[in-house]
Amino acid sequence: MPLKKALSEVGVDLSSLPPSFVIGIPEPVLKVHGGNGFVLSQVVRLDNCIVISTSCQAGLDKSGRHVFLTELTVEENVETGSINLNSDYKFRPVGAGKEISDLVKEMREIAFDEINNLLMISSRFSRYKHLSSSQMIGMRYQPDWPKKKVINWLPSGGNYAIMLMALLLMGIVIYAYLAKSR
Amino acid sequence: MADPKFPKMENVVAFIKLAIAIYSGVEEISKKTRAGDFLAKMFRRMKGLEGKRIAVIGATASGKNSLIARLRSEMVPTAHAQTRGSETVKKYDIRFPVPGHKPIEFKALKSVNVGGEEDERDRFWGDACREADIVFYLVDINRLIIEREETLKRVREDITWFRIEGLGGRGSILFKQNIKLAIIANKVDFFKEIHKNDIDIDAVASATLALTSEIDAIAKSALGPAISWLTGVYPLSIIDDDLFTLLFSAILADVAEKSDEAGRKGK
Repeated sequence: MPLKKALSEVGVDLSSLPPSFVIGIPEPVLKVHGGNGFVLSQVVRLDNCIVISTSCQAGLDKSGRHVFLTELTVEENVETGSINLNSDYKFRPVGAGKEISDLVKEMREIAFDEINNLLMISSRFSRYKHLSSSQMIGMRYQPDWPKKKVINWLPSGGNYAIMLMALLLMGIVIYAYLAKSR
Repeated sequence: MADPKFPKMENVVAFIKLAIAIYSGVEEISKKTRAGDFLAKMFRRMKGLEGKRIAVIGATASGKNSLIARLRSEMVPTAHAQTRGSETVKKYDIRFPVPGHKPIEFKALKSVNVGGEEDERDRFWGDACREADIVFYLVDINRLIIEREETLKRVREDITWFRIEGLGGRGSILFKQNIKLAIIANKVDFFKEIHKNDIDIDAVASATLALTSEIDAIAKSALGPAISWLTGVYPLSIIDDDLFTLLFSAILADVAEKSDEAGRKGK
C-alpha cells in the first residue's frame, strides 16, 4: 500500500511529516551501519499523535536491489507513546507470510530499547519533533535528534594560548633564519 | 550498415535507425565527413548547456542513479539500495566524452538525489526541480512494454505533478520560467541485440516510436498550458557505453537548441 494512502487511513497527512523522516533505510546510512541486524528507528511527534517507524533490510528484489521492511505505528497519546511488542498490524504487505511476521517480531525486539529511549527524549524535550536512532549521514534533511556533530576548527581556552605561542615561536624562527641569510 | 544520416530529434524513427546503425562503432562514424560535421555542430550546441542546472527525476529503478553516476564518470551501479528521501550530492564536474573531440565539461553544483516512490515525488522532487534549468524525467521503456497501463498511469501522474508544482498550483514551489523537461525512455539496450542479430531495423524503430509517441501524447496532455517546457521524448541506454555517448549527445544537443529558442523568445 502506498505510504500516503496508509497514513491517511489512520488520519495522518503525509505532508505533516518532516522531510527528514524516511521510509526504509537510505543508502548512505546503510553503507555506514550495513549488516542484516541493523534496524533504523524513528519517532515523529505531530500535533495529535506520535509516528513510530522501524526499518530493516528484508532481502533483495529480482533485480538485486535491497528491499526494506518498515513498520509504522501511530500512537494517539503523544505523552505516553510506547510500543507494544505483540500488537497486530492493521495493514500488511500483500501476500506476506510467516517470514514477514518473524522479521517484524525480530525487528521489534531489536528496536524496543531504542524506541523507548527516543520516546523518553521526545517527552522530555518536546522541541525535538523528529528523533532517529542513527545519524542520517548524507541526507539533505537531518532529524532534530541525534544532534549533528559540529566540528569546531577554532581552538578554545588553553588550546588557543598554546596555538598563539606556537605561531609566535614559528615567527621568531623564520625571522632568525631570514636575518642569518642576509 | 545503414547510411548514418543525422536527423532532427523530432524524427524519432530516423533517430532510432541511426542509433542502431551506428552501434557498430562511433569512431567509424566520426571519420565520415558528413557525420563528423554533424557531430561538431551538435557539440557546439551542447556547449550552450554549460553552467545550466540539471535535475534527474523518475520512478523507482528508472535509472536516476545510473545517469548521475554516468555524468560523474563513475561506474554505473548494477545493484544497490533504492534511494530514499533526499540525499545530498556534493558538487562535481561532468566530463562528457566526445568521440574525436575534447570532452565537454559541465559544473554541477551541490545537488540532491531523490527517491522515486510516489510519496517521495510529493515530498522531495520539488527540491530537485526548483532550481533546475533542465529536468530529465526517466521512464523504463521495458516496464512500459511489460506493465503498460500501470506505467502510463504513473507517467501521467508524474507529469501532472510537474505541471502543478511548476506553475505553483500546490504550495510555494515554482519552477524557472524557461525550465525544460526532457523525457528519457531509458533502457533501450535491446538495440545492441538487434544489431548483433540483424533483426528488421524498421520494425523495431516503428515499435519504439509507438512507445515514445504514447509517452509524448500523455506528456503533452498532462502539461497542458506548460507544454512549451517539453523538449521531447528520447530513447537512451545508460549502461551501454556507445549507445549512451551517441544518444545522450544528441539529447543534450536537442535540449540545448530548444533552451536557446526559449531563451530568445523570453527576451
